[in-house]
Amino acid sequence: MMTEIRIVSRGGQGGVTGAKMLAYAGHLDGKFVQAIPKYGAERKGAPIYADVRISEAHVKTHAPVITENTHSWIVLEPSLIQTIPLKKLSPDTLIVINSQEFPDSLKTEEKLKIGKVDAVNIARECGLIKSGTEMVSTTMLGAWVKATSLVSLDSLKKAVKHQFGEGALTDANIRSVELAYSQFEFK
Amino acid sequence: MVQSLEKPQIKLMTGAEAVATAAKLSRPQVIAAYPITPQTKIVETLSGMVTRGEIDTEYINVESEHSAMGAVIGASLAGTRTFTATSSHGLLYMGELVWWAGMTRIPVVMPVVNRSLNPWNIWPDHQDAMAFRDAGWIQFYAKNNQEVLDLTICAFKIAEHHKIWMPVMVCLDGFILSHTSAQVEIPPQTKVDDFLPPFKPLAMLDPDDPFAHGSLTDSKGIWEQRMSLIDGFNNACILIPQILTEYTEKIGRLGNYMIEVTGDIKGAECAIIALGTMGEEAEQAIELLSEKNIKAVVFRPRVFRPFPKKELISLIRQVPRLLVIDRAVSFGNAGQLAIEIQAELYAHEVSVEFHQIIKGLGGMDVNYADIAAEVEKILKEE
Repeated sequence: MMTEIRIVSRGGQGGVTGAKMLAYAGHLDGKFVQAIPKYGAERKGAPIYADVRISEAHVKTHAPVITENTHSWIVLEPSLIQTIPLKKLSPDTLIVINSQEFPDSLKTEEKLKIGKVDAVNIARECGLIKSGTEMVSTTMLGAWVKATSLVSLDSLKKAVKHQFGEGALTDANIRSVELAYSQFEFK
Repeated sequence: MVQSLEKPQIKLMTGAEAVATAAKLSRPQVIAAYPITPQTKIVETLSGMVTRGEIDTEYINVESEHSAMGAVIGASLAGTRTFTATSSHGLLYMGELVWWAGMTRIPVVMPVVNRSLNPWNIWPDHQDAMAFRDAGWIQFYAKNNQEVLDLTICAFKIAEHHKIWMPVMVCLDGFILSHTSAQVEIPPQTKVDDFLPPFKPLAMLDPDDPFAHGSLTDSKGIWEQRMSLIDGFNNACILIPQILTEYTEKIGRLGNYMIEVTGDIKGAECAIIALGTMGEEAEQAIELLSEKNIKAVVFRPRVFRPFPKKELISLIRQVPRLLVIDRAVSFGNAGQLAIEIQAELYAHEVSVEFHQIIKGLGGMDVNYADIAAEVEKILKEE
C-alpha cells in the first residue's frame, strides 16, 4: 500500500522542509518513502506544494502525486484551500487545515474528511516565528499524525530532531507537534 | 553518529547528496567546480565534506564551468583521480572542454543533473546531456537515487580502466532525482576501497620525462586518435558489464545489465523503452496495465554511450511492438533514443511495430498513468 500526501503552503512557511521531515519519520518507521519538492516558485509568499509518498514497497513512480490518488492534503494556510481541486478528489480524502475555524468553503463538504488545528496560535505559543512568519509545518505534521496514525508520533519527533539538531528550536518544534496532536479536531 | 565500517547504512537523501556521497567514497584527489546555479547541491555537499575534513581532496573553487573542466583535465594529466559536476547551461558553457576531455581521453567522472536548455530555466529533461552524446564520453542514465550512487562509484572504475580510459557522465534527472529525497543504501568505505583501488595513471605529465599531450598535430594524428577512441568504446561495451558484475559481487544490488528488463517478456504485447526515471515510471505503468490484462515489458537502457546495440536487438526480437519515449529531441528529426533504435532495427532487419513519443520536455510531468495510456492508445489503434 502507498500513501500519497500533498503539503500545500506558501514559500517561507516550511512546507518543503515539512515534506522532508514527514518522509524521514516514515523512513524511521521502516517504510519506503519519497519527499518531492516543487521548485521554481519558491518565492516567499507564493503558493507552493511538496509531495510525500510513504509505502510498504519500493516506490517506482517519480512524478508528482496524481490528484485523484491523494490520501491527504496538509494545508498550511486557509486561503490555499482555493488551490485544491476539491471536485477531483476521491471520497474520504483527508484535508488537514491550519485554521481557527472550519472554512466556509468546506462547511457543506460531505465527501471529504476535514480536520483542523489552529497552528498559527500554537506556533506563536511555542515561539516559532521567523522573519515575522509563523512556522507551522511541524505543527501541521503533528495534526496529520493524530488524524491518520500513518507514522508514529515518536518517529515524527525524531525526524524533527534530525532536521533541527539538539537545542531550543527542536524543543519548540516538538512542543508544537505535541500541542497540535492534542488539539486537532475533525469536522 | 559513528559510522560503521562494515555494515551498509540506509539513509534518506536526495540524488545530489547520493552523488556527493558516492564521490566521497570514491576518494577523488581533485575536485573542481563552479558553485552557482545551475549547479546543484552536489558541490555544496562535497564542499561541506571538504570543510569538515571528511574527504581528503584538493578542492578547486574555479570561476566558471569552463575552468572547472580545464582544472580537472590538468589534474588528471598530472596523475590524479578527478571529479566535477554540472548541469544544463553549465554543461554548455563547459562545452569546448567537454569535447577536449572526450577527444584526449581524460578519465574524469562528471554527474550531469539533466535539465532543459535555453531560455534559462531549471526544469528537467535530457536535452543537455544529449547535446554531448557525440563528445566521446560514456553516458549512464540512472533511474533512482540508489542507482545514482552505485553508478557513480562504478563510473570511476570504468573511466580509469586502461582499456577504456575515457570520461564518464552519470546522468540524473533534475529535481526528479537531484532534489527528491529517497532511501539509499550506502556501502561501507572498506568495500568501496576493495572495489576501487587507487588511481593508476596510464600516462602522466612528468617534468623529468616530458611529453606533449593534446598539442596541435597533423591529420594523421587526429585520425589515429579518433580510431583509438572508437576502439575504446568497443572495449567499453565488453568491459562495462564485467565491472558492473564486480560491483554487484563486492558491494551488491546493481546487476550487470546494460539494459534493465522489467516484466515478463514472454507474451508481452508491447515493450516500453525509456531512459532514466521515465524507465522506472514505466515499471509502475506496466503494473497498471496488467490490472487491465495488458501485458507489457520495460527495456531501460542505463548506458546510452556506448549504445547497447547487441543487447537491445536480442530483446527487441522477442516483442511485437515498441513504444520509445524520449525526454529530448533532435529538432528536425525525432527523439535521440528513437532515432538510434530505428537505425538498429534497419541494420538487423528486425520487423517490429515501432512507435515513438516525446514526453516531459522542460519538466512537464510524466506519470505512470500517462505512460500506460500511451500503450493502451497504441493497442487500440490497431
